[in-house]
Amino acid sequence: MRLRRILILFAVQTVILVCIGGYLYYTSMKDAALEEAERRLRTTATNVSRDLHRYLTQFEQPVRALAGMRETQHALAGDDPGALREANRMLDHYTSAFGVSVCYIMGPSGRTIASSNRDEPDSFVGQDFGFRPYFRKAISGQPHVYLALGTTSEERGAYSSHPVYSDETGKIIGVAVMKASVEYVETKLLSVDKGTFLVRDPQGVIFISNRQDWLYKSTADLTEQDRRAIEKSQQFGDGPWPWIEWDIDGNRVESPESNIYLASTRSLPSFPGWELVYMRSRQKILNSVQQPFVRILGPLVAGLCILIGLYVFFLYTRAEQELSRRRKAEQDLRKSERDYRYLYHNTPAMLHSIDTDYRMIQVSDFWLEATGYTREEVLGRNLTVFLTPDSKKYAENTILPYFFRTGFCRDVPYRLIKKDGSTMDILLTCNAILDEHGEISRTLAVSVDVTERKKEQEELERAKEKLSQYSRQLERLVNQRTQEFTGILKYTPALIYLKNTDGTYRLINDRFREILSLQGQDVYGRTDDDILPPDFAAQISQNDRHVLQTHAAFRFTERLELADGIHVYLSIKFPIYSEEGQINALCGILTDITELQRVQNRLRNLSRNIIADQEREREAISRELHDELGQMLTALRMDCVWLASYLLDKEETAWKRATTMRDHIDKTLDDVSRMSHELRPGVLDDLGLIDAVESLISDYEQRTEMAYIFEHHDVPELPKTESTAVYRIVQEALTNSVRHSRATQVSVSMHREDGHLHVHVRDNGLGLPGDQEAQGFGITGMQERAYIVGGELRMERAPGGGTSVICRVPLVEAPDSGAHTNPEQGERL
Amino acid sequence: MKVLLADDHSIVLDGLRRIIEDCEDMEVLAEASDGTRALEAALKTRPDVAVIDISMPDIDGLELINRLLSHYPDLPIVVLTVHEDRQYMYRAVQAGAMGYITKRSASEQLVQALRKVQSGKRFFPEEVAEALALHLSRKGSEEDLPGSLSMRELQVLRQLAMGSTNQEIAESYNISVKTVDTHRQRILKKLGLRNNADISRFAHEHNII
Repeated sequence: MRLRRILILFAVQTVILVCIGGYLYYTSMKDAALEEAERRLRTTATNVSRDLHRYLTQFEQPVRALAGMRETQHALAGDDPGALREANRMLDHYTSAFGVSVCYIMGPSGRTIASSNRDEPDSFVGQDFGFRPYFRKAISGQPHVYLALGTTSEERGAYSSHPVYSDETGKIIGVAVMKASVEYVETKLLSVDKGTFLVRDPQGVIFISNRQDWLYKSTADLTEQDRRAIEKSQQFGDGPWPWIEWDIDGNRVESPESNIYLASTRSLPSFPGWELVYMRSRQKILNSVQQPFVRILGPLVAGLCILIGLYVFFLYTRAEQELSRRRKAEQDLRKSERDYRYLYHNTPAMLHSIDTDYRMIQVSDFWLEATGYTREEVLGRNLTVFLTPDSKKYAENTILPYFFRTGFCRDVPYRLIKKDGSTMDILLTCNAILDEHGEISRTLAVSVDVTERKKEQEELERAKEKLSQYSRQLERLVNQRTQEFTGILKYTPALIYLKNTDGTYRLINDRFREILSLQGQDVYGRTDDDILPPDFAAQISQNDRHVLQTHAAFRFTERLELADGIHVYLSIKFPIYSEEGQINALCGILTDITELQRVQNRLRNLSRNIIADQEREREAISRELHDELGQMLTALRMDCVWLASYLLDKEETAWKRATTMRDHIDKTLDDVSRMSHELRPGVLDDLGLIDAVESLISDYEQRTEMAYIFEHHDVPELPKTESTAVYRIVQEALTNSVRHSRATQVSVSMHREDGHLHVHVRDNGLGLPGDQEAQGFGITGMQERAYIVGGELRMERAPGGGTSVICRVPLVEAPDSGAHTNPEQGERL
Repeated sequence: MKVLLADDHSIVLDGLRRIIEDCEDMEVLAEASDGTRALEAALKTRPDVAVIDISMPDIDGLELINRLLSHYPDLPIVVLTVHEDRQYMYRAVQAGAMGYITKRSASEQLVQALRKVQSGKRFFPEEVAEALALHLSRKGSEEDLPGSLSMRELQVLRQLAMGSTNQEIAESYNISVKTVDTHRQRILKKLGLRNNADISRFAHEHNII
């Protein structure tokens, strides 16, 4: 704001100065112009008076010539008309030749005898101009020039007269006159310059002027006497020659309107007392100076003002920019100062500064807070006062000298004494602040409290130690485990291998090596085809792939032909996962079950044989009972009946005994029949499985209140072992249903499918009880029966409630190896 | 009446012969102790009736029926068996036997059976007659509706069709009235029937009575 005011003031001053300068210049110009004008006025006056004089007196020679002419003398000589004619012709000639108004000749009395204007209305001929001074002078022998208003012609003129001398006598006989108009003077000579000219006679009457209204007026107030004299002379007409009311005197004239005129007066030499006055209006002169000045200087001044204005504006904006820049810089500076102060005190770091005498000169709030001192207790005191003796020594001997040499130190470990007497471990980093001479003037130090950190570090060390101890222990444990596992791997009779996912081996155990005769060889990176017999390799590869594809553990049966025959292995294979959950290896454990299987088969055959024997036995007994005892009893009964009929009417006591005997035989037959049937139903042997089951169901129908449905389809004739097994299974299942299920309906179905006989016994009862009770349901017995004939059996909850017994018996004799598992597919674990 | 006896038990043969010979108008034309001999004897002697034990060595009874009938389609055959099992009876009837008796009832029923079959009729003991009829009707329509019923249901159906009350049926089969009713409900549901009249019509249509 202040700047703007200063600049505006400056601009105004400049404009004023320019104006003053202009004015001064103008006034000096004006004076010079006036001076010049006066000079020119004078010059012009001189020139004009000279020209005027020359013009007025130019006819002195011609009139002398005219006076000298013969014709003039002749005309004056007598009344010879011829001579007069000659004289007139001559006068005409002179008039036209010299361009004058009129030429004429006057007699000695002053009467005009001949004139060039003789034919004009105002002809001079006959006129007497003897009163004219020009005549009197000439007649007295003096040529003369006379200025006057014509009495006849009423025209102003310059009369040039010359005496005419007679050749013969030498006496003056007349006067020759040439009159020239003075209007020429007004129109030609006096119009050359702007300004007012006037020619006045000695009385002041104005005879010639370019101001026509002034003609025949006077520059002086004429007295009556003067007026009469003039009137008498007839020089300027009849008068009254009034005063023009101007005081034309000297070179400064004032008009009645108080306008100032510059004037210059010249006397005309040939006309005593006559003066030429030349006047110019001072104002006009000034105008002529002023106008060009204003015209030139005005725009100049205006342009200058504009330039100044622009310049001032330019300066102002520049200054404004500069100022705002400075202001901003100042603000920034203030702000950064404020920030600095804020940071200094609020940064959670311990900041302090010392001077070159190690005295504390500044300390941050945080420093105080951390140490417990007040600012007054700290400022001005030596830094080393706050250090422990060790640190103090270290500071004085090492750090401070070093610092004041280099201007920098970093992470210096000090120990501070706090107000409460406890110590604090710090790391101090310090920068020097230089004065303008580049000398260290003070410091800026940052201290970090590392007490905690130090403690943590120590704890970390301890933890590390512990960890390394632990890891050593772990290592020992791992070693131990490795030893154990190596032992297991080495001595286990199982074949164990570990493979990469690409099918190459990582390791195999010694037993495997031994079997493959690979002792001492490394198998790492080798494939199945590299180390295994082709058949075995194919099985292993296929099964391993299956495990890798399904991501699950499997149990397979694999066969390897060795020198002593085919060995059967039960292979457990499972993927091994990395920490990321990716499969990165596959492990296989192959257990030789050749012997086990052999024993198993033997055992099964044994069971089968035992049961078969048992059945055979029962069948034999059953048959024995039926066919021998039964037939015998039947025959006996027939005899008994015959005997009874014979004794009837003959021997009543004997007849009674016979009928009683028959009843006994009947009862015995019933027992035999039942025993036989229970031992083994003859219908199974005689009519086959279907009839036996029909019979069984029929029997149950008679004995129980359940509804039985027996469906069978495409059931072939079975070998005795199989049909017995199925019969017994159905019998057991039905018994279960009757005993435990409280069912109202039982269905038995049999059909052939996939080379197996499928048997399904289902009731709509309570369903299967828990596992343990299920053992009491004879499921073991049923499974045993099924197992012996190579079949399988399971008991499960039927859909919609009740119990299902589902059994599958192969219709062709199963191979020896036929166990639970299908060796091709494996069993998922 | 000339009778052919075939039984592998000579002691039974003796008994049978005695029964037959007690009748004046009957004589035992030939006796055979196995199937082969029985066939030979039949071809040689042209008996009026054949009495055959269903279980015999070499050719068993059922096979023997087939062979005899292939030579003499009109030969009435009475099957004799020591088995109480009705399966034997069904098979014998299916094979073409006209009569059936158990050996123990031979003393009482043989003569009667012989006379009946000789006159071109069938003979079966009363207690098995119904079961046989039901069995045959079921076998005859394996894919048909009666095939979906159990034996006991067929029995109940037959009884109901003949106009027996639930009480009577329960007594005759020695089961509870409630069970009879359960059977009845299941029959109605299985066969899509509504009442006893429907049951009666169904039984007639399917020759169950």
